[in-house]
Amino acid sequence: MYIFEALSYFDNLFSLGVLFCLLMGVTIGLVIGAIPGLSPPMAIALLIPVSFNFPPTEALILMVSCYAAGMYGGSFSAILIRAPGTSASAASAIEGFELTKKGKAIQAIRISTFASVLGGLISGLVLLLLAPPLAEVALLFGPAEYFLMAILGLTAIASISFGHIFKGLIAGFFGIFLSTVGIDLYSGIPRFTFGSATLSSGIDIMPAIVGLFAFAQGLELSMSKAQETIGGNSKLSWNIWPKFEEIKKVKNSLFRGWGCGLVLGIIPAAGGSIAQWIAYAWEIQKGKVGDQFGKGEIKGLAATEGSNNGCTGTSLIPMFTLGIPGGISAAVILGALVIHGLQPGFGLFKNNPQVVYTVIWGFLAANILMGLLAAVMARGMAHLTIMPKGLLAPLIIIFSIVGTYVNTNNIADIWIMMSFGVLGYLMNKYKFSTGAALLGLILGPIAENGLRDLMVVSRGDPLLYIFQRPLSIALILLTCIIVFYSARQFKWEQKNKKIINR
Amino acid sequence: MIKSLLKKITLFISALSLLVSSAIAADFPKGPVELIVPWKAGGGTDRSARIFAPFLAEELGVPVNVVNISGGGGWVAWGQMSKWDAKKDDHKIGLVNLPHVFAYLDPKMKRTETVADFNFIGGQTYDPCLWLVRADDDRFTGGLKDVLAYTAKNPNKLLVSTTAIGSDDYQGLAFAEKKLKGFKVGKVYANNDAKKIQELLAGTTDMVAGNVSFYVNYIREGKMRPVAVLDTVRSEYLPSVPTFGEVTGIENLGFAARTLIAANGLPQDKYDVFKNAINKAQANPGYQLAEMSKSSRIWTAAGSDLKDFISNTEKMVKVVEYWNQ
Repeated sequence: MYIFEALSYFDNLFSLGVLFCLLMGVTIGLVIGAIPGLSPPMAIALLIPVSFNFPPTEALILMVSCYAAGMYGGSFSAILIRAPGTSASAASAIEGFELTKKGKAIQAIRISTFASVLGGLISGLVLLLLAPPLAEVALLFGPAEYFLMAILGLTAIASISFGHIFKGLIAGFFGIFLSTVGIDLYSGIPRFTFGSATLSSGIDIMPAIVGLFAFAQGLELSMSKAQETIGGNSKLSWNIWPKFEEIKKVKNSLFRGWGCGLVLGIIPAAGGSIAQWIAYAWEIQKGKVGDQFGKGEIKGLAATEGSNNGCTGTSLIPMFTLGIPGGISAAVILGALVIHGLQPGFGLFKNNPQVVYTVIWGFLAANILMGLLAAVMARGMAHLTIMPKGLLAPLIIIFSIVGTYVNTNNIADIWIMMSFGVLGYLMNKYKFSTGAALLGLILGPIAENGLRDLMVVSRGDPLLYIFQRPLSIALILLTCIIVFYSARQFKWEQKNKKIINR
Repeated sequence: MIKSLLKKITLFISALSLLVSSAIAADFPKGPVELIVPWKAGGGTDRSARIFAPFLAEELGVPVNVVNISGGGGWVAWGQMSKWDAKKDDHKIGLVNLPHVFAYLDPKMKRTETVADFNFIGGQTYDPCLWLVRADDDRFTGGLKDVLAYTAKNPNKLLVSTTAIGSDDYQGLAFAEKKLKGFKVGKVYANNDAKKIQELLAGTTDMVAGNVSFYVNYIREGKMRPVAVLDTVRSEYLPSVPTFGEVTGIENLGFAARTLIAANGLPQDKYDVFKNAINKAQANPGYQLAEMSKSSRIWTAAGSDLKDFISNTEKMVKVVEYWNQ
């Protein structure tokens, strides 16, 4: 029975080499993840030459622990200074930073740590125990499902517009429009590139996120009094572990977040970036009167933070079992597998169980270690919130620029990032949702390419094709239900506007 | 008397200049060398560069730092490389991908550079194109012959997952469509191999156009069946798979190759330092093992061989003229 086999490799963790790699991977991941613009794939790529000198198990543990910690590290800067370190922590920046502004930075980090560590552990356990039976799930997703999932994801715009639904839709459409920039995959024709080589490969997500969130935040801080602090307080509480009551209050949000992460993580290429938004939108839908969504609601943060680490383990399932890497991080880890003479696929679990199961145990251990290290790091980083704005604003702006440049070494990306920054500043000021614009930018290509692939594989008859696929029908139904409830809620809000505002 | 003195002086000067130039060669490179990857960290070229860098550093005696300059399908970096200054940029080596660099042939790209603007040192790796079907697909047990028979009967019915227009995978397919009568396929485009693998394994498409190194594992795993290699010779990793030319009688060359370049006008002695170091690093068994484990071929073409190869590649790209479709 493979479950017992999986459990039997636990003691392989206790070797000096493995522990060293764990510590190194987690530290590098946390630090690079926390810097806006620098992403986990980059941290993992830096480890390639290093890992080549290690035995396969150690090398892979180094990479998976860097991946898990990088995902989590991105949340620090998202919560503390609204500068998400990774694309997966963009949604956390919204509620997280509002909490920081209320002086609840440490409380936000506490919940984030709890949600991330436990989310990563659950996700890792699914990977450890259920990877072989879940392998084929990734293959259920074809062009029709990708297209419909992108549409489902776009419905989240309704929730993250926070009452300004038409402005939110405009922002969302603008994001989708920006996603069409670049050479078209199907015809090779450059769209809206204006002869620029940089634009010909499209607008990258990373400069957009750094601009819309971090740089815009830097600008906003520059406008306020220099000696003020973000949180309005000058002292910090040091307790990094959440109390039982705190967790109890957000337990449903955590389960929803973890659930979204676990399920969506398995879908290659799209899962991770969509999971946080779906979890967040779901959370807002479930909100009650008196909840402070968009103004610092801890439930929203618990959901987004749970989802982005909840997908880390499951996103490795298609990579290990089918050799299909879900993203760049997974592709680099796959490359390391191959270089060390291991064949990804079912054979991996049969022929090299000691390697694959030890690595998964390493992934689990990395999640625990990251929680411990975070306790130390978060305290240091939280000092940012008691730093005067006059000092913090230029720091954010400098980090945004340097982080963007280091990622691609392309000066043009800095201009793109700064344009998004100014845009983000204006959008915040006039209540256009920056999250909606980002969601459009992320989901636009998935929807467009999904639809065009669908037209080719269905030979021009997409409806017939869709109705033969149960998963597609389920996605359509789900989208309809969400739209129905959103519309009802919208009507209710319109009717009761006076009461709420009072 | 004066004449002999003059002679002595010129002799002295020439000896001195010889000394100086050999001194340059001896203390070149002076500091770290940058290896420029025209793609983001984590991609195939980046991975190969990061594996190669330590071996190259060992030969050069200085650190080799991989620097990613990404954007524009490689052209943000290549645009810079073509303008490298022999004095200022003498500590830089660049990676140029074939046939991707020929994107400039598309008039829509509006690029003024050509391959003549690059100072090629030599090849780095070479990865031929490969067509595969699902292992459990009974229609194509006889390989490429069955595929061709099927497409002849059902034009445009066979769905192929391929990398986007202009890529080597697309080039191989389009070349076949031009040269083989009745060979017309439906294409589903991707910008990475993960999507192609997912589509084929899920049965969304019938065939994949990819590169040998990405797919050897799926063949060994028993998930995919190779149909043909798009090369003049069979792949050392798949000796039983025929080439496209063996089956059809028409040579179809498809490959993803990487070459290394230096600044234009780089003095010969410095150029030779790079060239020798690259050759030695490529001969290092440690590096060879790393590339072999990825089923990738180390490619040492240089000089006129490389020049001919590049101009042949250009001709092939012009045959397909993808920008006119």
